[in-house]
Amino acid sequence: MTVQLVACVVVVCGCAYLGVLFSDSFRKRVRQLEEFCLVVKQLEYDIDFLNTPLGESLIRLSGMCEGGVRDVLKYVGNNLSGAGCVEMLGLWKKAFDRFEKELALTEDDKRIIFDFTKNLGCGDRTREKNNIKAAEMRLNAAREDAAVFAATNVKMYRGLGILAGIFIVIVLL
Amino acid sequence: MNARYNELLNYLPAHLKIILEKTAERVGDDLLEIRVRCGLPLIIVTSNGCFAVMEDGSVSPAVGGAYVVNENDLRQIFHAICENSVYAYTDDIKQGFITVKGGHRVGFSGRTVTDGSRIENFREISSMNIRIAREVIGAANYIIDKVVHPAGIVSTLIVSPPMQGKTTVLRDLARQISDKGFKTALVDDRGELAALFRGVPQNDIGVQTDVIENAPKGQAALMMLRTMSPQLIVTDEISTKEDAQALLQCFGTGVSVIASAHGSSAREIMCRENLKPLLGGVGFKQIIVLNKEGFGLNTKVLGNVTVLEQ
Repeated sequence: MTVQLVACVVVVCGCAYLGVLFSDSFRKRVRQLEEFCLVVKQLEYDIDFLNTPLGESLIRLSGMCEGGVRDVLKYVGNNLSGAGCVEMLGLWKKAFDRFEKELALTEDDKRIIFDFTKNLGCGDRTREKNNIKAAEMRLNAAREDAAVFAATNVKMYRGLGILAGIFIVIVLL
Repeated sequence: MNARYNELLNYLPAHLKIILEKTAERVGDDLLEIRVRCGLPLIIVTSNGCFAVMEDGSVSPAVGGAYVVNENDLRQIFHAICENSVYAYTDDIKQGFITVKGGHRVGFSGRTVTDGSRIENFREISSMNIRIAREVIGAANYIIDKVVHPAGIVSTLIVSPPMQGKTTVLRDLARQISDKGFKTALVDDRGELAALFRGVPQNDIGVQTDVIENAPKGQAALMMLRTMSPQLIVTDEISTKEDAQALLQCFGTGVSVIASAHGSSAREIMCRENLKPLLGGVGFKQIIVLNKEGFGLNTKVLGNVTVLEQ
């Protein structure tokens, strides 16, 4: 009886954990979009006031982020710093592919970032600022959508995890 | 070719890099310039003249079969020399050149955007001239005794036509004088003398040299004068009225000045309105005219300025 009880608890906890793990990707997406919003804002400062070259700036900004976003920024920054001839959009795409497992962004989110980075570093300050403003607007909208989506889905998936655990226990018993 | 040249090749697209690596193996240290023009053959300049570069990296005086540069090559080179941050180089772009790591200077031309009287930007770049920086330790050996006397440093204007080694001699003079213990201020508005990269001079400019780079010459010279208490100010290519006025203020403080200017003779320099006030009096005491041919110096006096010509 005690063994059965322990097994039931283990199954329910395991399923609940899987639910939490799955729902976490929604929160991670919100957090990563927030980080990208911050990066874009800081880039505007670096470009407009400090005139810092992009590679140097991205390496610095990577220190302000965590996980996948940090790795992507660091990778792109290192490849831009003194590396000479590189294809900007290709480099960002390569970085996203390389650290895909650590990123929770959707294809739409990535498209916003790729649209932004396609023209990054190609123009004078005014053009860069316009590019940044457009990206900021789109990223903020995506972040708000992601936050609403996360608020409804996080609870749902956590609940589903526990329910699935209980369901398995009932079936097994 | 040296490590600096290899650094320069990193700014080129991969296929051009391969071609020019092979070219460098053939030409060696004699490579002075690489000329990249949209829709036209890739040209290199050596001390023996101009040559077209073939697809296999060989060179020929005839352009048939040469690698033809395309728009994409130019765009890639431009972004690479701007470190993919065009906004950070806007001021240099307005001047028409960018100095890259290693002190190499990339000049460009094409269709400009102006605000009426001043160039604001380049809409299209149609050609580039990549000038390969060369540091020659000892290049100023044959004139150092004329510039540094036991009584102090003689304010000197170094004159030569382009590509005759003015900057190389000037850099070596700064190095030798600085190593003799004189506090030297290097006003390097084009970043060719010291070639600072992340604060470290890429060229040997002496242990007592302070550098100010990429700032307007006049403003930078006066700033160095106020803040670094130099005994000598060294600057490259003075030409404008503003440059001359700033140097005049430096002369007035008792600091020696060594500068360079484009010209083929001392007489030509004396006829230039902007430079006239700098010659004689408290200004330059001597003019040294360089050419590639020899190292002997003939002395003569023009007005109240000593002229040393090769």
